[in-house]
Amino acid sequence: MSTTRRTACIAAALAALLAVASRGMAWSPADLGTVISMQGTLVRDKRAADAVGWGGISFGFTGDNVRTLRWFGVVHASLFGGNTFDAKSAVFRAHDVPALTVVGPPELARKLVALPDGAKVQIEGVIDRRSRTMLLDVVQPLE
Amino acid sequence: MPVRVGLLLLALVASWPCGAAAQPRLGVNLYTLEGIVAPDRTVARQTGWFAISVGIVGDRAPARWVGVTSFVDWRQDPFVGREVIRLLMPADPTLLLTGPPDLLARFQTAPPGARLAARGMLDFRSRVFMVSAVTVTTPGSP
Repeated sequence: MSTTRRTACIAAALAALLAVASRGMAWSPADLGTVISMQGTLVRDKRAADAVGWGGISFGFTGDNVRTLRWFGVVHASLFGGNTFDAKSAVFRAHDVPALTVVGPPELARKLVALPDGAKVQIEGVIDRRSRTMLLDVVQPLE
Repeated sequence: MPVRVGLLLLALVASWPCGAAAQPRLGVNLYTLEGIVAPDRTVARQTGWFAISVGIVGDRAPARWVGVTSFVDWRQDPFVGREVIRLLMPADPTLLLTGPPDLLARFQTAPPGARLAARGMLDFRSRVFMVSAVTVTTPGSP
């Protein structure tokens, strides 16, 4: 096989590999996560969450707070741009406990853990629906 | 038209806050409702945070179901909106729409699955929601 022909074969193989790799890396906007903003009340259990909000969801945590579970009665939820129509399906998994696992950042996770029951809070962040994890951006008490 | 605007302004002035922030003022107040039109209560519960029935003042047609995804007052306070709807929920229909015929027609002709956004003055005692803006969009439509 001539050098030119060998070079052409290698180039073709590399191109094929790149094509396969790029196909495997195909992504959609949903893969980047779902930006969400929620308002609601932190409470002690599911029953209370269902009572104070339209629906109760639970937050789990990682690290030192891996055994902590916070219940949240959601009264409002919207996706990026203010879309409320698709927000429920993003956050509400009544049968999953926790519905969302907070994966950081640590200071906001600690802030969410430390807020008392009864606190009205605005929580914002990015949700990965497949892993049901949430990266916090805002934990803001409302009163 | 000027009479309607005058009434809206009068109601806004009358409802100006002077008490606790999160307490619903059970008179006439401005609210914005968002939800998904549903064929029945079951679907409405699945698509929205809660299901309400919505009738039309003076219309004998059966009330339509809406899975509500947001209900906020004029200060965008969902806690107040949630409390007001909770107090109204036992009633059926939960809300009675009134307003310009073209706006009511948008709601009446909205297909199941359509996204509804309505803004107007709600009289808590009569459950009448006098709409001043209604938009209906269908997912996938431009």
